[in-house]
Amino acid sequence: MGGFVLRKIGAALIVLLIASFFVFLGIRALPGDPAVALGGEDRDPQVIAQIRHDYGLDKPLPVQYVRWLGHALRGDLGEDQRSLSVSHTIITKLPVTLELAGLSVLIAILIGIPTGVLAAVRRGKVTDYVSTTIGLIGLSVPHFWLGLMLITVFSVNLHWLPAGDYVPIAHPLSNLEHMILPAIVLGTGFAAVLMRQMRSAMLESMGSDYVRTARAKGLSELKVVGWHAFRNSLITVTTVIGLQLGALISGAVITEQIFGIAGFGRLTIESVQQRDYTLIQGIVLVAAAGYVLVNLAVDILYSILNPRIRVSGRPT
Amino acid sequence: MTAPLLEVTDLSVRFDTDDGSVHAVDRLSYTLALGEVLGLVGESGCGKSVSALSLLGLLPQTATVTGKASFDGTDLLEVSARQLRRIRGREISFVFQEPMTSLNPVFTVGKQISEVLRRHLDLSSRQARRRTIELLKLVRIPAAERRVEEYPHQLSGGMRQRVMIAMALACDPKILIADEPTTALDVTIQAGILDLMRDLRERLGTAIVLITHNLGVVADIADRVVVMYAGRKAEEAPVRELFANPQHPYTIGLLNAIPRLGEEGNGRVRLQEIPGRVPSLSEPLDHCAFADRCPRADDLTRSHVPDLERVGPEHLVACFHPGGEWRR
Amino acid sequence: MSYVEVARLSPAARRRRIMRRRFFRRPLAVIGLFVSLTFVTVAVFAPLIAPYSYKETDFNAILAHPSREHLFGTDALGHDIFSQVVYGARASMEAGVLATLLALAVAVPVGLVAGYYRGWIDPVIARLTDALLAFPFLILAVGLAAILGPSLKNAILALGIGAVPQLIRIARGEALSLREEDYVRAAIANGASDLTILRRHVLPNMMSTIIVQATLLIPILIIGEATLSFLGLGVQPPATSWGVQLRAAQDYLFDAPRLAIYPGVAIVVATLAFNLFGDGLRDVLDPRTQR
Repeated sequence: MGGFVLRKIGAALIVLLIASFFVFLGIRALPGDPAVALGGEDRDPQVIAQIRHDYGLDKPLPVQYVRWLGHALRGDLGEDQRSLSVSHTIITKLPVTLELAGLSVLIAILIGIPTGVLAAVRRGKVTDYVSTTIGLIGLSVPHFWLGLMLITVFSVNLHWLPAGDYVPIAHPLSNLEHMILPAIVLGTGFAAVLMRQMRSAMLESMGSDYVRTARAKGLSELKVVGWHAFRNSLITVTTVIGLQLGALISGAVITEQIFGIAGFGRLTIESVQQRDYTLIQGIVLVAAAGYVLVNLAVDILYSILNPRIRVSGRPT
Repeated sequence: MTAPLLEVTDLSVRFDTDDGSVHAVDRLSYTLALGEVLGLVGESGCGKSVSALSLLGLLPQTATVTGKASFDGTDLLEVSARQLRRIRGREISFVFQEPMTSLNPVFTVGKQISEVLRRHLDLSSRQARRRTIELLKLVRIPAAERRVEEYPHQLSGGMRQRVMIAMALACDPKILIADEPTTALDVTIQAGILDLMRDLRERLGTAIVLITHNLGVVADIADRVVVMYAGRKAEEAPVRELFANPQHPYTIGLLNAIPRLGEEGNGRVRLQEIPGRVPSLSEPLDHCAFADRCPRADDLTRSHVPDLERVGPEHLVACFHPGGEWRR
Repeated sequence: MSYVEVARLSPAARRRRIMRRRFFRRPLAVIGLFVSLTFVTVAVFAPLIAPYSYKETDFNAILAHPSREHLFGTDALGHDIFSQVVYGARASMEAGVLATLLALAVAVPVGLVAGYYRGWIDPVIARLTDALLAFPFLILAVGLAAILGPSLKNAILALGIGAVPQLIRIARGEALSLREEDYVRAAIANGASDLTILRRHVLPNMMSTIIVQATLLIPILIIGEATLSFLGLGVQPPATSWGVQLRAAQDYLFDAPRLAIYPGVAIVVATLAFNLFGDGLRDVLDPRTQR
């Protein structure tokens, strides 16, 4: 297992490196002279030339990249349009989004996995059809629409829950009140995917030879399905979870926008709308890094769950 | 005469799928006595595995099973789910063909064996572990104490099959059904497994239904043989009688097809094959299933189903034109 | 058809018949197919179906409730919502279908080359794809759209490019496994040229997986376009799409939620239809996956 983990970490680092290169290039690909953009109002050629020198914009591209990367690794992502530290801005907004994401994942797992198992066990019957269809609908509903609808129903009409803003976690009850709708919105899509994956993984393991063996041993259905089949399905589903987390980040962007939550997602939109390229750069880099790290964690979890990876096979 | 341990009467299995029906087994009947080894022989797709799986209710939902399978006084095909679960693994065990996929990859080998013990014999985990190690030794797995903690992927094919056998014998069942237990293994390993099975049978007195397409295996270990073709029983006889006096043209064909090292003349003998293919089983055939490939086929065999007729002591054949010679 | 007639069909035709039969046995998939086709038809014939032009405003009827003149009512500027939804289908269908085609056109050849030739080019493509996959799809699309500038065309480009990495991975995986198939090895051993092998053996066998993936990609890209437009990065007013309509609807959630409901439902139904169709297609084309 050690070798497996090391290899995965190595791959992740390489991917991050290349990704950072893409980010760097992406911003440089924009039309216009960055020095002018940085200069803002000031059009004085001398000032601009000074800016160009200060930021190293007169050096060749690879050098600029290394310089930029060096700064980034030290936590310095530059300053945004308002001369605020990008890293600081990101760090303050990130926990909000992490909380939202965490709640959504919790909801998704609590709903998605049991429903998926149930649908597989009762395959072909009413429960299966209903679950599968609801699951498909959950997949087809765009986050922002679901958000708008929930706001309409719960905030506007029923006045049960607030429509926006965010209250820090220091006030847990109020915090939850504000977070529950957005978490449901984000969690729904994820739950739908989890449900489908769980169902298909369960169907596959339930049709496998080892499940047949378990039955032939006289074990109860509960043991056969809930223990033998489920444990194997869990492995398959874990790989999917990693992929879905990317969609979670994307969904967070919209959800925060709709619910007026000042988190990482909303920051993304603001930065794009204001064409604040330094900020965009920092955001995309952090998003990519986060995604890669989470996937790495999922890979490690997978290796723990799957004995074939955890223990090397030496047939003797 | 003592009552047979297992009596299968008119067992039929039909599969209904999106693409049509398949009549996999057509009115199969046979008996199994205490401690006897019955060889169930036929080519792939003749329904031998399906018939065995149906006894323990291990077929998929698309299967419809009719007939009677009387075991120890109860009809296996009519019994409640709960009773069936008590019989599986305890009274009747199954050893599957593919040891690679028949063991759960995420649990240790020891765990999978202990599971059966604890389920049926109510042993504590320590007792179960001890018995598991005993069982592993019984099936001649070296370093049993270490193997108990290992996962299936760490064992070779032959060893996995031994584990399967240990698992099946754990609760000392009366009947062991072994479905092509050696087919997926190398030839050298096959011999070891057969050796083991013969030894176990002598020591434990378990009755065995041995399903195989390999007549060599049957000659090695079986007491009686049932030859199946296209879901029907073609011939049944004690093993020596079958090899000495095969009556059904299919049996004769099978025996002739066994390759032999050079004899007559230059020592090069052509492999004898049975021409033609197994008929599609989407409808129960109203004539002899072997008619298309039989050198003795005529109008009679092409229009009527041959019944089983006695042609000797304990020797039955379903054929209109039985009898013949085979080159030994 | 009698057995005799069926037996006379070529194996390929016979397979197609079986697949067709299996497909039409699944009511949900068939519904998905027809609804998807309906949406496409609506998109193509929008000017003929919509009672009003999407630019047409009626300042006498602002935020009106559904009536005979205005099936779904009107929005804040007096546009007929029903017509808006109909015209919105155009942008969404265009985005969904064109972006998918774009992604396919790029990803399939690249994935094919990577998976089939291996050598040095495969690791390079694989690493690059992995790096691109490090960016969550929407973030990538949003980033690209920001760079390119807001418009439907650029949104299609951004979405298409965003979908490329995932498709490359799939195409590469297919090519990789097909390469090991016996008939491919036999063809190589017989001296067939690479191009011939790719054309006759590899590509046709990848087709079913690719088709399924493409069909399932369309709804993702429809939502993608709606999202981009919702954020102001896609279609720009006065041109309309469902996303644009939802963006405008935000301010009127209190007074006239229907502004958000209609285009939203349209998105859900269209997406659902393509998903059902794609699912059914997958069940039919891949014999290994059971319902």
